[in-house]
Amino acid sequence: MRRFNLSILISVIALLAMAGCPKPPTGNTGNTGNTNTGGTDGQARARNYNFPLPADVKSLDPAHITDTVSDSVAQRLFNRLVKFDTDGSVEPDLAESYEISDDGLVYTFHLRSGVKFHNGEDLNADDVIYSYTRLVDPGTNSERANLMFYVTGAADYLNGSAESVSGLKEVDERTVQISLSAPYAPFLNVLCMTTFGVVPGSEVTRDEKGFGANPVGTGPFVFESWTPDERVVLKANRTYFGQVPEIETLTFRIINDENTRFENFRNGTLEHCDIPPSKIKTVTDDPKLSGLISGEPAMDMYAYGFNCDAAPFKDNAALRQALNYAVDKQNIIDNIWSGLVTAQNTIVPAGMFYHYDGSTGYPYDPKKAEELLAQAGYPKGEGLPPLTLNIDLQPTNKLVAEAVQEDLSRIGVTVNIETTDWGPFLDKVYAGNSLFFQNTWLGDYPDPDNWLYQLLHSENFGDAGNISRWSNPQFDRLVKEAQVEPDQQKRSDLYRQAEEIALSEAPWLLLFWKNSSTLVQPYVQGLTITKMDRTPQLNNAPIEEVTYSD
Amino acid sequence: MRDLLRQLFRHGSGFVGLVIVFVAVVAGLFCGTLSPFSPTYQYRGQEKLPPGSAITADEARQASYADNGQRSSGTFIWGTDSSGRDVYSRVLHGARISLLVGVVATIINVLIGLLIGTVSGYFGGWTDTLLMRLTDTFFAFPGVLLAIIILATLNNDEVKSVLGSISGSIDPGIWGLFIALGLTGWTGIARVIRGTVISLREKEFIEAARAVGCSNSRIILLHIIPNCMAPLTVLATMQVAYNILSEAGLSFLGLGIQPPNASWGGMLSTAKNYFYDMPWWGIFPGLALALTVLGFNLLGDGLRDILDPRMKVRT
Amino acid sequence: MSETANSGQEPAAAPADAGKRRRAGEGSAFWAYVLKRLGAALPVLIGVTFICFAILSAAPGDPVRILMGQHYDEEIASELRVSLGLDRPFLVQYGMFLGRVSHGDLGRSYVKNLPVAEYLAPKFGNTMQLTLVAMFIAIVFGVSAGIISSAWNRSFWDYALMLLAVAGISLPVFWLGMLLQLLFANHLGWLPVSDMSYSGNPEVLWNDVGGSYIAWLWHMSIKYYVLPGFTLATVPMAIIARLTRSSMLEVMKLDYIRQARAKGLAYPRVVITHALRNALIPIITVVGNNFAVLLTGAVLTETVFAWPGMGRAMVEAINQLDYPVVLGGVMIMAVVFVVVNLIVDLTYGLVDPRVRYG
Repeated sequence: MRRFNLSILISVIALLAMAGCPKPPTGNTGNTGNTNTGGTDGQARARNYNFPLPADVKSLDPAHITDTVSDSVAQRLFNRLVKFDTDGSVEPDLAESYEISDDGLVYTFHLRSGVKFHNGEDLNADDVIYSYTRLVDPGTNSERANLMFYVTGAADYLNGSAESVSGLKEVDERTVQISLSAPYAPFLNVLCMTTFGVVPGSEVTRDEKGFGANPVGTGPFVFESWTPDERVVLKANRTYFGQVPEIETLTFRIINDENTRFENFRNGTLEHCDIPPSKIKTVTDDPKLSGLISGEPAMDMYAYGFNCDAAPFKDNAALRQALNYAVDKQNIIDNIWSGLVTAQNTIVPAGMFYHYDGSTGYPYDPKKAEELLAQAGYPKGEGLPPLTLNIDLQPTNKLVAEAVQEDLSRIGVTVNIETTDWGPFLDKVYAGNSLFFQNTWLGDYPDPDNWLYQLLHSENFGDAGNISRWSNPQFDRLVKEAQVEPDQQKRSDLYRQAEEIALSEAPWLLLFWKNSSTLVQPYVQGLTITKMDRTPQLNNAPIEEVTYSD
Repeated sequence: MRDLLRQLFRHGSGFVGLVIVFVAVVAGLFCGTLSPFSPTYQYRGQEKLPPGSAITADEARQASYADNGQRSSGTFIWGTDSSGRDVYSRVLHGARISLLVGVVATIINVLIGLLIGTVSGYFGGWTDTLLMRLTDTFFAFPGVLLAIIILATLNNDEVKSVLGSISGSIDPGIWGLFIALGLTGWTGIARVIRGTVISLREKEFIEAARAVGCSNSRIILLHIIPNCMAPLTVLATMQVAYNILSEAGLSFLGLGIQPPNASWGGMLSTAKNYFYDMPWWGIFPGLALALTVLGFNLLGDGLRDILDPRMKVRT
Repeated sequence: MSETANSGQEPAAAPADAGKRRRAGEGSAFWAYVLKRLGAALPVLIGVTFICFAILSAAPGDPVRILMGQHYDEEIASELRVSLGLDRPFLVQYGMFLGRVSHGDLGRSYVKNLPVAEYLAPKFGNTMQLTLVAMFIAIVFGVSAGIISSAWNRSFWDYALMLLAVAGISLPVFWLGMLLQLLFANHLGWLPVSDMSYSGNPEVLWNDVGGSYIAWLWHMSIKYYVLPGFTLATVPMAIIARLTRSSMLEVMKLDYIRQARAKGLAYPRVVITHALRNALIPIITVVGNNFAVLLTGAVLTETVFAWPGMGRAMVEAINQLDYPVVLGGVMIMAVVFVVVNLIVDLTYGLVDPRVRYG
């Protein structure tokens, strides 16, 4: 070893670098045939759907799903009693049929027969009871326990004063009865959420903590593997009670960077993807790509919230209105989103039985904004401290914030932008430590209740959903009335009155509705993107119905 | 000083560096008067314009820029960004941030490095061991990450309100950059100064000073430090380049200077996604950054050749 | 952030430790030296984690709140705080951390549903691969440029290459990365914009390339390394080129080189076999230093090329206040730094037979 060669150092480094080289799929490098692949491109592709996700999955246990990314995977693994059709109406799923008593208090579900869990066990009524009871079991500590509170006795069970949930009853092996403590019109909608996915009791009790990483359901796809920060792989459920998917492998690929997703789509290694706002021009200018866009305005809100429980926004509707009038939404829509979003003029989005079509919201009107600002006690912004606007790290959201910052500076309001990661952002907003913040919401179910009650009712004050900490007794009363009202026309009227109050009181700075615009490969057929989808997660698009045309 | 300039002039590349640095300093100092437009004002309707696009008085009247006290007509010589801001004016204002951070952070680096290096080298013994272990520790700490962690810690409401109140018209984020970069880049300086001090310590004039009864602090201040000036000048010039690059890197990651204020790294981080459609938005701040850093590096090389002839062959 | 050794820290010579030229037996003395060096590294590791721990403990934000997400409940939160030891005094928490680390346990991530070691291991591997590729490029091109410059000292090529080298040190890596993407990926379409491997079905690709292993490997993996590899290599390449040139020039002035030339040996042979070997010590030092710095600081290159490496994971962890990951990552990086420097020092012995370990 007395003589040393630079070439040794170089070769060592080269060898180390090469150690990670992938092995060819056939295992025999000299073999040019395709012994294992068994066919052409089309066939090989037909067996795999590459599905992009913008972040890693957190848990696949229905009781612990709070984010759209985890939900996107879990949707394909579990069935609920009822599910949404692609137009947002409720249709039977695990339940073959259901009846609702005249007083709207008792729901009876008749289960399909012959449904098997992925582990081969039969699904029975007691699995439904188990899954629902589990949501309010203190041991489960589900983030979504509050969704069960409409069911009689659920709250008692959670606080330990009852042995079981009295409102859940197994009539026979195929029949489940759920009683509510008060009529709740959107109840069937709520039952469509992934939270109410039915899990096998035997499997969960065996390893409750591990279930979220090793889920077993009844859905069209079976869980295969989850490589953190890389991919989740599902296989088609060959014994699915519904239509067995043509796709054999559904691979969720976790790609944080929107441009990388786009490049992957262009290289043909993703079956669909979202369009990065900075690339919209590239896409619309390219005839090959522009023909591949599908999607529509979704129930996906991007707005800002004011903290209505703290100075200067507390009890100062004029100030909140002034800021609303000062923002040029069209500029944001045209310049940042190149027309792929729609101005927000209402609180409840279009696409459900109630929508306030006639609302003009807050059109851009800086003169009016200045008047209102003076009326609010801050003429030309004098005396108003600089407002810190909290947003997350998405680059496009930063551009939107800069546009709002500029608009507000023109009426004399100073805004400082603070960008933080999603976790710390929520931490700040939920704790009420932010005055002015990004307020986004993707509808859980197509009912105004999911917007007006969940996001603005004082029962949900703070981290339960009403992060603007706004409260108005009259609004509260109207929304509560609408919850128990069985007649849809009357509900619409009540929501109209409630929404008008909320619009004029302006607890939010209205911005825009996102579109679910998604690029889909031309050979992918039957991927219906719904109003309830956020792209690229596509939580509700029925992936099991996808077929390939070539 | 004049002698130094003459030598630099003869050095060639060092002089080129000096000229670049001079231009950058002028841009940074007088960016307010040199900028044709406001660096933060969004000219609505003028977004994504290529270099050389002009805005006429008519267009300006329609969009009522003049009402906002903004300059209403002129040419966007380096184009506009996706929000309709003048890229040229933003690059000029970015120079101020870059130079300010580069110089102030370097001053902090030099103060810490000088203190640790002289004390360590002069006193030796366990003081030396202890201080060098500390230096090793900071050297082993991944520099970028330490800066990011410090910035994250300073991103605190109380700290920010204090800093905000003392920064006036300058972005309060700049204080975090001063501290983060000031605390991370001193290890190289400390080591070199220590080496120089050790070699000086045994010199006769130091022995003489000690014999006359000079106190340690007097010897350090009057005899040791002046003799460290040559390597220190070279190191500090290079360190400014390094700190400017680091500031741009941190801003590129979204830390430091906050929108709408202009910094080169911040501009590049947004321009990155639009690079294909709007190359000018990313080219000009990148060029400004690369040239400024090149200027300081060339100047540093030149100074090393002149001030530290022992190291001459090393360039 | 410049992903390089501080230009002020270009090492002029081997560290003092390695230069100890004492006579001693090889073998046991060698291992004693290794042990001694590792022992000396311990305070550095403790110092690094302590600094990190101290700064993080002052950071804003409540990890428990982030851990719990939407439904914050004071009772559960305080239980969680106790179980994580977050209610304890700072020094106790740090002691607990050291205790766990000494058992090889880096803790569990707050945000990812994984132990820190398990989460960081693949990221570390990805960064390691990129760094090796970059170092390979940097050595091959840097040493070649340095040799050319020194062999034809003061020629046009000397000036041109050295100007390129200064430019290389001055270029912001992320900007260079963007320019390379624009040219080679967007305009020419030769190389991928980002990502680190082909994400489609490898079998389909195998058929597409007609079963050629080299072509398959290129499309599967290699082509993804080219742009980030060159981007990350720029700065060390420039430093290596400058240093090779200067140490070659220094060596070539020495007597024995003159003698070799006087003996009538061909100029290229003198340059390669005699001069280069003796110019290697400073080059190895700079390779070692830069290797560790690249490995620990590829944050920006990884960001530009969406490379799923350690640097990006660390920035993400800092942003998410995922302290166990931050601490674990800093710890791993410091260990790598220490080990690489040790390897560099040991390499001197291979290069220069006069060096003995004592």
